[in-house]
Amino acid sequence: MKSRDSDRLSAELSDYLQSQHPFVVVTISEDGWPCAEVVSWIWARDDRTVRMVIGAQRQSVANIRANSLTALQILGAKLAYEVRGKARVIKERCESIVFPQTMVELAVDSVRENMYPANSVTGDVPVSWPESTDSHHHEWNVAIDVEMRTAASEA
Amino acid sequence: MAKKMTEIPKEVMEHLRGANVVLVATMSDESQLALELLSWIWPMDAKTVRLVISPNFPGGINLAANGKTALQVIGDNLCYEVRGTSHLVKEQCDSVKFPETMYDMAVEEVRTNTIPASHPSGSIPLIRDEGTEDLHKELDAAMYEEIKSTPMLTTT
Repeated sequence: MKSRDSDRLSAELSDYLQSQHPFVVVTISEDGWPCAEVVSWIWARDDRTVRMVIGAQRQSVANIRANSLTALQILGAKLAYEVRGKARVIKERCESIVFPQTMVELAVDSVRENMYPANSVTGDVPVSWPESTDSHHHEWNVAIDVEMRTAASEA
Repeated sequence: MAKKMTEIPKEVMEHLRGANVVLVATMSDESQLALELLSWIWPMDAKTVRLVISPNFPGGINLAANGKTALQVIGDNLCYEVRGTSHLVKEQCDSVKFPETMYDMAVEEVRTNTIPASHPSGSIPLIRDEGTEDLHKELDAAMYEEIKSTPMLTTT
């Protein structure tokens, strides 16, 4: 085990996940294969719990319903971590935005630094959207952030 | 809506030839997922991706066990999952002194999987540690030569 491997998020990683960043969620499909999807709504509730909001129709959500084993790839400035655990749906349909989104909570089992030697990630995966939708994105981000922070843990 | 294909599209081939970082997702026979970031990846053709991974990484151990692989490719206006089975080509690459194993991934499915209403506008940003640039250049040149010149063992 590397020195930065752990069973919980470091303070640095928890702080980073207090705001939204693009990340990759990997689940296990029905046919027993890893399934990757890029998502952006994430929040660390504490050092053993991460919440995320994923489009209700996306494959990840269906996979989590059938098999809770989930891994996240977190990428940011000097941050490259695999976060593994068991995920479950805690809210079928988020109320704060119009299009169907599902809230998932990951109970963290392990955290592993997974950048290869002598290299560092320098920042977030850059993401853009049409300028005309800027205000919508801002509204959605604020609304989802509030909903993630206030949702009850019970499904 | 996700677009599904059975071959790697041209723009992904070009991206993979750019020494960009790719996320490699694998799983053990006990369904434990492992994620690795790799840059020694090369598309041999539209149905085959060659990748080099340490046999000591959890992902390398999983590939040796069952070959189940999903790549997450992120680039400028690119967001794809490439799924397939990886087959051992070479236990130990000759061009480096540390343990690195070469696999050919037979592509079975490619799908777009971007964040709705937005898209990545660049690759995973990466920097080499200061003072290692020359060593990286040397290692990359040797490894890519080996990757490109080693015959394909799998026919897809």
